Amino acid sequence: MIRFMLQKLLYKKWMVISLLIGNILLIAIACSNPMYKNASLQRTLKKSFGDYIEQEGVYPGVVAVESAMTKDQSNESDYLMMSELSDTVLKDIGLEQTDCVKMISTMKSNAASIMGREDNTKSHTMRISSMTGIEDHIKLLAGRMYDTSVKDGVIEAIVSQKTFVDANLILDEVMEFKDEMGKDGKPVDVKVVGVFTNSEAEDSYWVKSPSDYATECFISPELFEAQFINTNKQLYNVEALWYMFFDYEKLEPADVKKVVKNTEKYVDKYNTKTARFDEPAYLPVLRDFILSQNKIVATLLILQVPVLVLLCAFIFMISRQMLDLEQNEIALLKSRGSSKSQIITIYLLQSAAIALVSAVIALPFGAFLCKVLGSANGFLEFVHRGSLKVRMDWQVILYGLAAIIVSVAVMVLPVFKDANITIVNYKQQKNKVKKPLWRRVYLDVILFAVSVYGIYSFNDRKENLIFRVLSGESIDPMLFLCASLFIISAGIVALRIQPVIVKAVYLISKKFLRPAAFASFLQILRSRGKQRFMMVFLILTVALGIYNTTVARTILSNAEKNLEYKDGADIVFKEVWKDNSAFLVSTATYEADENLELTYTEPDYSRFEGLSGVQSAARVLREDVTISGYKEQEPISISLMGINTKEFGETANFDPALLPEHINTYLNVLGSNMEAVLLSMNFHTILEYDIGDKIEYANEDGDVISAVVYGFFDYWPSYMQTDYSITDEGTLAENEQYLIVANLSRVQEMWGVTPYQVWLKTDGSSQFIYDYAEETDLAFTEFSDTAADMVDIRNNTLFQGTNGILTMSFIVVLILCCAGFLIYWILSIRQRELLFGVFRAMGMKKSEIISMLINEQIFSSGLSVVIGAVIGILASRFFVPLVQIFYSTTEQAVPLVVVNKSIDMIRLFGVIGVVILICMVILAVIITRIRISQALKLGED
Amino acid sequence: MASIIETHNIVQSFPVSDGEFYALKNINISIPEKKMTILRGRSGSGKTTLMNLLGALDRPKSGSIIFGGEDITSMSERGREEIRKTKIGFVFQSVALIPIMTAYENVEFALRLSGYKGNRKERVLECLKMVGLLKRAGHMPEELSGGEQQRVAIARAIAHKPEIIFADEPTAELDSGTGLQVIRIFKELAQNEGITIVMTTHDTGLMGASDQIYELEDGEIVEKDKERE
Repeated sequence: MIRFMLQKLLYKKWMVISLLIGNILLIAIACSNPMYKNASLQRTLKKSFGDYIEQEGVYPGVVAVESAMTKDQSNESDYLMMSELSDTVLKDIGLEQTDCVKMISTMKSNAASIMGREDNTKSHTMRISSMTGIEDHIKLLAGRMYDTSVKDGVIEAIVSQKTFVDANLILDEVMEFKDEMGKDGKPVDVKVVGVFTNSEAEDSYWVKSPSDYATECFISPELFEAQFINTNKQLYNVEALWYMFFDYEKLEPADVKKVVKNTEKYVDKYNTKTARFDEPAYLPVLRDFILSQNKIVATLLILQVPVLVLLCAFIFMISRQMLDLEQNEIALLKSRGSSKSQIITIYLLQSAAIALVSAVIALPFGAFLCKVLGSANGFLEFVHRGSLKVRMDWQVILYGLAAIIVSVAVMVLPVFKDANITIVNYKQQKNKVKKPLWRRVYLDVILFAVSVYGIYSFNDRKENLIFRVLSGESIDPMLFLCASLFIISAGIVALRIQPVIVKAVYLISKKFLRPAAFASFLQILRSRGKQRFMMVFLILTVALGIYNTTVARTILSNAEKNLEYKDGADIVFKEVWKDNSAFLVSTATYEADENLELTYTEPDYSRFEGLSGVQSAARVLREDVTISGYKEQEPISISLMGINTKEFGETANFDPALLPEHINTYLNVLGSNMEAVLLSMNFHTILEYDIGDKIEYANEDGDVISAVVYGFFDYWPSYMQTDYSITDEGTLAENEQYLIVANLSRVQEMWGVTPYQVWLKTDGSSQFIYDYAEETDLAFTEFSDTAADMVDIRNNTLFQGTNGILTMSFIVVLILCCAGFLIYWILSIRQRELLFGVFRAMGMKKSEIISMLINEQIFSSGLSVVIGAVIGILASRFFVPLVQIFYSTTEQAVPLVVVNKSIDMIRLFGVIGVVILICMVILAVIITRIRISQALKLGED
Repeated sequence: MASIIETHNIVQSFPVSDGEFYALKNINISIPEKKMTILRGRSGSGKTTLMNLLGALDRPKSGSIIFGGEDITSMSERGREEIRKTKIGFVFQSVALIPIMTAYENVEFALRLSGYKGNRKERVLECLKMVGLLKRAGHMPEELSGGEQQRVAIARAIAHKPEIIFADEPTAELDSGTGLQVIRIFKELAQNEGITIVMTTHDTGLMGASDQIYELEDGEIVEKDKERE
C-alpha cells in the first residue's frame, strides 16, 4: 500500500511539489503569526518604555510604597505592614525584583548652623534622611563619606550639591535641627562632611535625581534606624519610602494585562498616608501598550486570514486535480475489493506524510518569514534592521498543529466522495461534465453582491468608524474581510465574463483567423473548466498585488504627509532664552522691583541661517490669545502665529493641494498690510467673521492688537483644525482650534520680542543641528525633527506589520499563482501531446504551435492580468479610503487620500511579468522536447 | 507503373540501454502511384517506423527517400512541413481527431492548415459525404463511435486533396465489419480520386483489398507480394 502511495507521488511530481509548497506556506504562515506577534510586541513594549525614559527622564521599572509614623503614637502597624509588603509586592504583581532602595526621612525642620559664620546666620528648612545603597551610586565632589556612628553627639551626613548651595554650607558645618530633639532632650546636631552627585549620568537608582533632594542630609541607614526609629514608642515623625526595581526589558507582552490588573489592585487598596502604594510610572505606559497591542493583534490576524483561506483553497484544488487523475486507480482498487476506509486510509497517510514533511521545512521557514516581516519598510520593500528576536513557544506549536490538521483535512476531504466510485461508475461518469455546485447556485455572484453591500454599509457608517478608531478601539474586522471577499468573488465572477469576451473576439475574427489562432480560440472556449483554476489565482495575484500595494503606500504616505504638515518644517525648535525673571521675584536677599517687566534677551537668530545644511530659516511666534469680540460662555482655544511672510514661505513644508491657491498667494496678501491677519476657516463658519472685519486679540497680559481680516484658510502649516481628546467617560471629545496668522513685526512691535520658534528647511539631513547643539550647548524647550519622526513611522509596529503581511500575502499569492500556472499548462500540454503530434503531422510548424499557445496565454493569462488589474483598482478605490481610517490617529489633520505611485506598479507588474516569463520558458522547453513520432505513439511497435 | 516514393537502403536505429536497436535494416521499396500498398508485419517488425519515414515525420539514420522526385531525407524541416501540409494526409491508429472541434471543424481545419484555396464549406461537406457522415457533421468526436471517428479522420486526411494518405493500423480498434467499411473507403479513394494509399496492418483479412503488400520482419522486408492484377 505504501509502495502504491510512493509510486503515485513520484508519478505526479509537479502536483506533489505544489502540494508541498502549499503546505509549507500554510504551516509557515500560521506559525509566523504568533512568532511575529510576540517578537514585535516585545519590541513595541521595549520601545514604549524607551520613549518614556526619553521623554520623562525617569526609569519606569519601579514601584514605590510609602508609609509614615507619627510621634508619640503607637501607629507602627502600618509601617511594619508596608515594610513587609515591600518585600513581596513585585513578586505578587508578577515582576521580578532586581533591587530595592529604602529611603526614610524625618519631617522638614528648621536647621541652623552653629558655627557662628557671619554669612550663614539664617535658618534653613532641612531634614535628616537615609537611603540604602547610596554609597554605590554617588561620587563625592568634596569632603568624605559619612561615618556610621555618632561622634561626640554629632551625626555625620552628606548632602547633594543643590542642598550644599541652597543652604549656603561649608564642609564640616554642623547644623542644629531645632525641631528634632534627641534622647537627651537637646536638638539633634548634624555635621555635613561631604557633597555628592550621582556617579553615573543614567542610573535607575536615582528615581529622583540628586538635585531634587534639596533639603536632605543623608546619614547612614543603620544610624537612622538606631536614632530615629522605635516601633514601640516612636519619638519622631518619619516618612518612609521603599523603591522596588524590576527590569522592564524582561517583562513579557503576555504578562502585561496581569501586571496592570495587579498593580491597579494595589493602588486601590493602599491609599492612606501611612500605607500607600503610589501609582507607578509604568502603569499608563502599559495601559497604552494594551491598547496598541489589541490593535496589532487584530491587524495581524485580519490581514493574514485571506491568505490562509487562499492557501487552503489552493491545497484543496490541487488535491482535487490530483484526485481527478487518480480516479481511474481508485476505481480500480475499489473494483478489486478495497473498502472505502482502506482507500481513505491511503490518502490520509499520504496527506499526513506531505503535511509532516512540510512542517519540518515550515518551522524554520516561518522564523525566516518573521524576520522578513520585521524588515519590511514598505510594500515589496525591505531594509536591514535589527532583526526580531524570534522564539518558539507552545503557541507556535499550537498554530502549527492546527495548520497541519486543517491541511490534512482539506487534502482528504475530496476523497470521501470519490472513494465510492467503482470502475463502472467511473467510465459512466467520465464524459459527463457537471458544473460545480457553487457555479450552479451563483454563489460567487451572491458573495459579490454581499461585498458590494458591505461597501455601501461601511461608507454609511464612516463617521462611526473614525470615532471608534480614534477612541482606541480596533477596527471592524468585517471591513478587511469584506475587502478580501470583494476581490475573491469579483475574480470568480469575472470568470463568467472571460468566455464572453473570448467568444466575441472569436466570432468577429473567425473568418480571417490563421489555423493556429483558430485552434487556440476553440481550445479556450471549449475546455474552460481546467483553466479556471489557473485564472482565478492569476486574477487574485494581480488584484491583491494592486490592492495591497495601494493600502501600504496610502497608509504610509498619509502618515508621512500628516507628519510633514503637523511639524510645519523639517526642523522646528524653540531655544531657551535668557530673561530677567530672576529679578521679578523677591528672595531673602533681594527685593524685587514691582515696576520691572519680564523681558527676554533675543539670542542671535542669524547663526542658524548660516549653518551648513540649512536651506532657509524662519522665525515663528506661537502664542495663545483671546479675542475681545467673543461673548460666548465657553472658552475657545485660539492661537496666534506671527510670521515673516517671505522666510515662512521659503521654509514651511506645505502641500499646495491643500489650499485652492498657492500658499504664497496667501502670504503675499498677508504681507501687503502690516495689520492684516489670515484666519482659520472656523472664524468664518462658526464665529462669523468676514473679510474686511476688524478683529482684536490679546495676549495673557491683556495687551490688545487690532487687525483686519484679509482672508481665511482651511489648512496652514502645523495647524490642526480639531483637537481630539478622550474624556473620562471614554468618549471622544472634539475641540475646534482657531488660528490667527499675523505679521511677526507687527506683533513684536506691540508686544515686544518674546521667544519664538525657529523653523528650518534642511537640504535632506538633519544631523547638523544635533552636532551644533552639542558643540554650543544649545538648550531647547521644544524640538521636532521631521526626518527622525519619519523613521519612527516606518518602525511603528502597526505599519511595519501591515507592510510585512501585505508583502508576504502578495508573495504567497504569487507563488501559488506560479504553481497553479505551471500545473495548468504542464497538464494541459501533457494532455495535448497527441494533439500537438497530430497538428505537426498535418504540417503545422513548431512556431505555429507556440504561437497557438501564446494566443491561448493572451486570452487566458493576459485577460486574467487585465481583469485582476481592474478588480485591484476597483478594490483600492472602494476599500482603501475605509481601511486607511484604521491607521489614522487623533493627530490626523490632512485629508486622507488614496495614493498610488508608479514605482509600486512597475515593481508589481515587473515581478508578475518575470514569473509568467519564467513559466513560459519552462513550457517552451517542454514543448520543444516533444517528438512528433513519440507524441503520436507511432513508434510503439 | 510510376512510383510516388522510392527508398534506397534506409536504416533506422534508436538508442537503447545496451547500445543501438536497429528498427529498420536496409529497406528498399517503392510505392506505386494511385494504388493501395499495405505494410504488413507483427508488432515490433518496424512497419510504423518505416511509415513515419515515408510520411516525413522522422528522418532515417542513413539512406534516402525520394518523394515525388525529391529527396525528403535531406530536405529542410520547412520543406518537409510543406509536403506534409499539402501532399500528405495521415490517419492514425489511435483515433486522433482534435477533441475540441466538431467533425466538420476537424475536416475544415485541415483545409485551413493547407491553405486550401477553394470553397472550404463545399469541400468539407463533400468529404464528409464521401465517408457517409454528412448527418453527423456538427457532432463532437466524443459523441461519435470509433468507426465514425476513424471515418472523420479519413475525411480530414483527404480534404486538402493530398497525393498520398498514410494510415497506421486504421482498423486496429474497430470491429471487423467497421474495419472492412474503412478499407472500402480507402479502396474507393484510390480508384476514384487517384490518391495513393499506404496502410499498415496485421489483419490478414484485409489483405485482399490491396494492390501491393510488403511484409516486414525484424526490420527487413521478407516478402513482396507483387502487384496483383
